[in-house]
Amino acid sequence: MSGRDGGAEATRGLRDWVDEVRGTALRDEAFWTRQRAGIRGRLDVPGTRRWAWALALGASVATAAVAIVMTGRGPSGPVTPGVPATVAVETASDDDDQLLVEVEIAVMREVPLAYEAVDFQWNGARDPEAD
Amino acid sequence: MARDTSPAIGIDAMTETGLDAAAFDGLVRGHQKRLYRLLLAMTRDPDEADQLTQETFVRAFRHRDAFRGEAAAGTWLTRIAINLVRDRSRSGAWRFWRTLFRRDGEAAVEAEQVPDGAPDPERQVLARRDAEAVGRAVLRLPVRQRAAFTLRYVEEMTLEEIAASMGCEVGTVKAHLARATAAVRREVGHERP
Repeated sequence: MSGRDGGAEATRGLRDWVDEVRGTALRDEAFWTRQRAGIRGRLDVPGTRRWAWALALGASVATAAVAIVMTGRGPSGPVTPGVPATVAVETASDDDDQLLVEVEIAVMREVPLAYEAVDFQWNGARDPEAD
Repeated sequence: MARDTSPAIGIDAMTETGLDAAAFDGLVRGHQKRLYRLLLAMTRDPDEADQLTQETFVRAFRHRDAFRGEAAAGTWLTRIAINLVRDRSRSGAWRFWRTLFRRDGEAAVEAEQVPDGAPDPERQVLARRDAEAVGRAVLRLPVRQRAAFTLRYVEEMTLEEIAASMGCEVGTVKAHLARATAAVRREVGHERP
């Protein structure tokens, strides 16, 4: 960029602009470290999402189980007329245990109960017990 | 001076089965300064350049399967960075906000750049005016011309290197450079009384 009218100024301007850009681009080490941290934070590390989903699902199931148990028990517990208090408590406890067992079974189940028939239709042939 | 002298760190840092964190960190370290400088020259906005630099590496990682190893990792990263600037320039919202804040941002940069106790104030003023005119002209260039111009003058790349980075022929690079240079010269000429 030199020669004809305005060429010398343009060349000088270009040189100064380049120096300015290079000077502005010189940042301290903290900037580069922060930038690298920002990049790492935005990467989809393989498996991370799957674990996040599993954790979220587990947390949801646990919360739901606790909510169900707490709702079933109620603030003071049902009192059945004519039934001794100890028996009523034992009954409630049995109900809670039964509910917890059901929740555990539901959590352990690979396919939700409502979809078992469909799953059997699709995947029944691959079931080792079906062989 | 501005050429990348960092050790050659390949894209194979991003393994197919998982992230080798240390290796990828090395890739970032090896290229982040050069990419930031390029993006700063193309956007004239330090925050924008920072964001785009980060986005370049994130996009490179996400699309690492597309990297065939035919070009150097640096060339591939440069191409991603240029594409990001192009995508950003197409965004109407981005143009609007950039136009809105450009004047303040330039004033801040200019205030930082004026050195104290300069021996020839008049010459300093003229030089600054020319440099500003060049910066303005570069910002107004179409993205491909801007990329070619910046890679040539800031990164001091050869025509062949620019062509590889932009994914085009050397002849196309020459055409971009010729148009860009003419536009810059016109801008500086208009600034002069």
